[in-house]
Amino acid sequence: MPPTRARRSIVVASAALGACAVGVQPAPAQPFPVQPVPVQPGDASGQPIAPRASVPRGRDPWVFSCIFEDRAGTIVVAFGQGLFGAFNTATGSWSLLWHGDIELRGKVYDFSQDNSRATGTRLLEAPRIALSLPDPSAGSSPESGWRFSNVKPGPGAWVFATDPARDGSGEASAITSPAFDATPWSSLYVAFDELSRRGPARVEVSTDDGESWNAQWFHSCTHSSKDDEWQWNFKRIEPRSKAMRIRFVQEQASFAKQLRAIRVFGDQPAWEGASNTRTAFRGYHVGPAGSGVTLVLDVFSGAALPVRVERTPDLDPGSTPQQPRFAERFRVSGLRPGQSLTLALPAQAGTTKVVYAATGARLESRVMSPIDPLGRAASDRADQHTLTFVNNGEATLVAALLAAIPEQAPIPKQAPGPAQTGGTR
Amino acid sequence: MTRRVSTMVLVTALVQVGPWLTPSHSAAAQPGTTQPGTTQPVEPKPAAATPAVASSPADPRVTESLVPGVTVWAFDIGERLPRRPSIVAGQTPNAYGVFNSINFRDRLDSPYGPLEDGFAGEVRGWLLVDRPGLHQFRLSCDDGAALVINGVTVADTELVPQGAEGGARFTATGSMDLAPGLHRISIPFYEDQGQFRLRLEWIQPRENTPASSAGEPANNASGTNPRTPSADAYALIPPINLRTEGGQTYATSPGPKRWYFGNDPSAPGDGRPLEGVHPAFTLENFRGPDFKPPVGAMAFLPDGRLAITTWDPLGAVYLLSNLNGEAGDDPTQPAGVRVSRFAEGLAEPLGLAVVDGELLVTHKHQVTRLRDTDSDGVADHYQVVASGWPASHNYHEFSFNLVPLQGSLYLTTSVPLRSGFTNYMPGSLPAFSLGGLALDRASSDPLTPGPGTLLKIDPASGDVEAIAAGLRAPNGLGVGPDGELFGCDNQGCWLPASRLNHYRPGRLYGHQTEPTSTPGGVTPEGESLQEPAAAWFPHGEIGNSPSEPVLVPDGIYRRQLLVGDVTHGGIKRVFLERVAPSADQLQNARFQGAVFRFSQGIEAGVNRLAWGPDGCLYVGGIGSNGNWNHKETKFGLQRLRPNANIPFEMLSVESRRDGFLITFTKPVDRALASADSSDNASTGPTPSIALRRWHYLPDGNYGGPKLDERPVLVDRVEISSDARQVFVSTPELARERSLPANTVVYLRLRGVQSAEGEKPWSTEAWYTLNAISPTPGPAFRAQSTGQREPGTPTTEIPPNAIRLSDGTPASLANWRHAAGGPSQGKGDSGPVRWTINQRGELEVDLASGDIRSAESFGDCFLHLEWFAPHGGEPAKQTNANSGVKLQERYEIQILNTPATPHPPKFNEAGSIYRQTAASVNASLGAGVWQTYDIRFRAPRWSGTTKTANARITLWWNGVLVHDDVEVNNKTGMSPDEVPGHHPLLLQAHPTAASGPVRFRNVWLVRE
Repeated sequence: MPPTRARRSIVVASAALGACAVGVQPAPAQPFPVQPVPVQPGDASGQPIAPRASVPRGRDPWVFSCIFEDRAGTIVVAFGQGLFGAFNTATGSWSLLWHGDIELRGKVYDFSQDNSRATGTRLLEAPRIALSLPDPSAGSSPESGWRFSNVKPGPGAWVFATDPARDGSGEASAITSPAFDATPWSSLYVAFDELSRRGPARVEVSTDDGESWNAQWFHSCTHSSKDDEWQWNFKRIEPRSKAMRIRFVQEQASFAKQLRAIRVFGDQPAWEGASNTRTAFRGYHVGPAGSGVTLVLDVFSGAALPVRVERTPDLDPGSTPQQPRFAERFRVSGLRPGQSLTLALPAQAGTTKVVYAATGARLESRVMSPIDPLGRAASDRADQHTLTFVNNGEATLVAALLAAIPEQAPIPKQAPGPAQTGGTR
Repeated sequence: MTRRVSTMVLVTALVQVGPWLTPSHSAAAQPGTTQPGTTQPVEPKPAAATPAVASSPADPRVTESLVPGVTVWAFDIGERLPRRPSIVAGQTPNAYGVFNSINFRDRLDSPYGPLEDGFAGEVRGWLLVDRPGLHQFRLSCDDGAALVINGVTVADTELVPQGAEGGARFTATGSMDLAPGLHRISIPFYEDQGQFRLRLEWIQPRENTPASSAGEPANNASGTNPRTPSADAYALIPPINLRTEGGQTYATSPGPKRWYFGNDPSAPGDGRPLEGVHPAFTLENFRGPDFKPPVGAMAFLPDGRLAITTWDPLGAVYLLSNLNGEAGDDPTQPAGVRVSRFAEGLAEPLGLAVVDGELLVTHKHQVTRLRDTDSDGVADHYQVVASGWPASHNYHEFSFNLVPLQGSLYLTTSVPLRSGFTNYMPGSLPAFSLGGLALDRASSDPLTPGPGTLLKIDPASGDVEAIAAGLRAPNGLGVGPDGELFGCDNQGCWLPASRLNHYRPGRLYGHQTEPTSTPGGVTPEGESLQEPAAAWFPHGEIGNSPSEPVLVPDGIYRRQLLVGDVTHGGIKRVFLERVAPSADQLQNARFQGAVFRFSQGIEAGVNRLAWGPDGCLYVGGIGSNGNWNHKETKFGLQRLRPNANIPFEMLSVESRRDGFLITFTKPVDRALASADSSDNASTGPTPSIALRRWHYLPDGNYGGPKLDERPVLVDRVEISSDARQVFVSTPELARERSLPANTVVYLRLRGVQSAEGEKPWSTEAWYTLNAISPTPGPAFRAQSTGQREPGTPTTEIPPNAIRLSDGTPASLANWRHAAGGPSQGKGDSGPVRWTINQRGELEVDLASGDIRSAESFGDCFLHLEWFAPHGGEPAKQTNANSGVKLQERYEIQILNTPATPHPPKFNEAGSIYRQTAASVNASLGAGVWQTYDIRFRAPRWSGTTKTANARITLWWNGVLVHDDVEVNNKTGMSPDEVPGHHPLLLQAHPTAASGPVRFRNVWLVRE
């Protein structure tokens, strides 16, 4: 219904109001549409310019790059039937397979200072969290291994004391992480949200189990102009050791600093060769009309020439929305006689059970690292599966995924993360 | 501030208002634009003065992202405000925020400190109406505000008559019949003094009240409204009924803004942005109405097709063919431009290049080659050319541009920020292996490809090398006239204004992570690694977010750069020259030059420019939420087709040892230089060219104020024999021994026209003066008319000067109060009660009256700088009235006389009060610091008999406006003339301006 401009007319407001009035008596002004226009990430034109033959994968585009769950350079693939994959170009492997949808965040989506994430049921997931401190909640118990000096649990955040001397310790208020093994991680970041505008936190890294704290340090960013604005901090951690600790210290005690969402995360290498294995992502090919995608990478091991690996993922023909089956064809070239490459497959997430089957490559399983950053009980841990290539040529992998997938769409979306609005250009 | 309000009823017709922040400015099509595809002229649209609902379609992205609350913008005015000001277009606010309700009771916070007094702003958002009917509104404030719904003013406190008894605050009420849904609301407001109070309440219609009955005329014969609810029924509008854009990011900047009351004293291209398309081009729409790309990058394929990327969720590459509607090879295809999607799924693609016939795209983390291997018109291979630099989801982290040059590819990366400041603290290790910015970095240390760097890529190997650093938001990269690499960067911390960089290997360009220290880094030879800007774009004046520079390949503007701007909008033009600091340092010549306004009238903020094979300049537009846009536009694709028209304007400005050489596109009217300044005031010419200068001092705060801003004295304006060039002689610069870094000289034509009477397309230029050229000014001396006398005054304070006011409170001791009340100039009543404010300025105190110097003087040379704020009534001489009286008797008037080309009157600024008007109007207008340099020759006496009258020579802002003018008698109500030396008097005259007149740098030399 097109809006209508108000008619010119006159109205007199009551003198009893004790004020003057500028009145108008228009025809009812029409509003903007009450129902928001559904928005799909789509064509900038608003109209299809050259309509694609079809959108068989359920979304357009169905293969796209984005920053996904803190990983830059992720390629997201919508396979159809609600099955999605997030391919980590830094490791040359899948960081996540899930069923549901994707919540798109960031500049071109909603202009937030957040990034896109999966919604729905996480099925298979590569190691991501090295360490995390759950935010306090009512009735929660102190976190195992974490040390709190003059820091108390508050509503949804950890609250630093304003005057450390009051509890008799005289120590600076601090949160200290438990020791963790950082050597398996090829990249590692510490991130947290901070509520403070009166002095930063000093973040310190120890590589000797807390004996010293000078391996790396930095100050948090506290440029907010509001007392109630949570600020995002994000920093790459360079040192590595088997006994790393991270400490968050309040240097100025004039304000009740609060921290939440403390986590250390990163990537672990997925490809393993003879020595010093690394990968280089070379790009991808797409078939016509959404018929398929092939991801191309080179795997370097030692001083040898790279091995070219082409991965063609898709839905397995036997897949259904409720019982998804994920299939992947590998084409390997450049392997020398006697050379082998092993790919660590993503682990089962949550209550998902996976049954793998492979041809042309050796499927094995091994016990996960004794360090379980997710804090799961040993009985809940799943063995890690690997796929080892010893020959050039084709190999296939099929993953039958058993998970509690809701029968009907829509998949409930996760609540947005901490507000990250604001900023100046 | 409180004023009484009236309880009388005001009946007024509906008031239609335009966008408050952009009065009379319209992005509507300009004459000469053409329709899509047909290249037929577009009918000029009427100015969009009333953004009613019908003309404001809800952007789906915006509508979906609405959140409860309203958004507030606020601009620091820096002066008292008796009424609502208008903000000069093109400026960014000092503060913004999202608030749950419209109920302010104290102040507004900004990143640069709280705004407490003297600011203006706007509440923006949508009103979510639940049920139909007549809605009553009550708007309360302590100074002034208006409620505008769907472009219609519903209540305005400035229309409330004064004088009657009323409440302690301003209150206005109004009503509007509203249907359920979202209605756009705007509340422009201003804050003078006291606590900032602003409150909007409403009374919703009763349920089951049909809109039709609610819409009955409410006034009856008795003038009462039987349905008007009681005042007690008003309630604050709850957050659930307010909506605004979610996830907004607003560009803000510090410092007072430019503003005005009433009619805008500036004009398009003369003190404010242009509004139309540059006359040398015809704007053509060709994209088709349904294709609305937010253009991230553009490039032309060898076959003439235009490739563009879109900065949107699709991340697409489109190919546009048949751009000029020519018949295609395929007869089944319709005529006109054809658009096809070639690729998609790229993450914020903001760079595009054609290399060996193939498209390469820069996106967030990668350069990708796109190949169509099966020739179906769609890319099927997305090949990685290079990657590896960091990229996070921070809103300010971009990978911009892709420029092929000499076998390499170049792109830039921006830094992640938080609230406008660097989002990473260096600590012991830089974030993301950030390179080149650590203060202790040795010059031999390699730069690493982190945020804020210029990256060089080997397209064969994919190797990435950082070759320059210290960048902040370097959106835009291009090639200069001799194959140099130029790029733009955007204002922020360590960047006091946006700048054009000439990129040199190993150099730093201003931005850094360290929040407090000064930028560092030197070469082994001791030369700073910090590279000066080739051109500054002063914020809010000539640019806010400059983007892609492109070289003009031919024509009159050949070898100059055209630069887009996303939020300031339009296209700027840059003339560059290489200038060495001295004749024996030619190897150290660096680029510097002038920025000119060039074109507006583009449908969106300009992100990318590309010359097409058809000779047209293709213009790609972009925008986002908040005020990351130009006039709330978010997409655009048009082209500018050169035509045969050349407007009269400055073509170039070049530095000379003793001034500036301006070349015009057409011969200038010789009157600008040949006029005799002693002509009768009423017929004298306007001063031809006014110069101002300032410099920037980068620091860790966002943006930066202009430092030491002041007029530059011009002693001669000379014209070449062909009248195409004008030399502006500036002895001040000729004497300059140590030029402050980051100096900008602003030039403004005043009344200059071409020999054929054509007014300039744009009157202003901003010249970045890194070095003063060792080349002397041209030999136009024969044509010089000598407007200036030898001994032109200088702003350099002579050693024998008596500094009457130097900005220190101690200098108040140089003054005494003149007893007998304001302007009486009698007696001496002791220490002054005028004050030195925090900026070191001497403020007039009306209550205590005039002040006079403690010492007395005879012949002298006097320099003083004065500031006359906006406001007041010229007819009543209350427009920032003050004056300086030589010997307490001979007054040079001070007023906020507008900077117009009209001859000033004998009681306006610059006049020897009511005796002789200034020969020309050299005023810079209200709210600007101005200078008087006065040579005074006291009257001569024989005993008590005057034998010769006093004589005055006055340079007003460097312009000679009185040349040894005889003063027959005292001026105005001054004391009678008597022999002897007498004090200097500064006048405290009643004024209705927005603040007190101020003085600074008052010094005097006895002669």
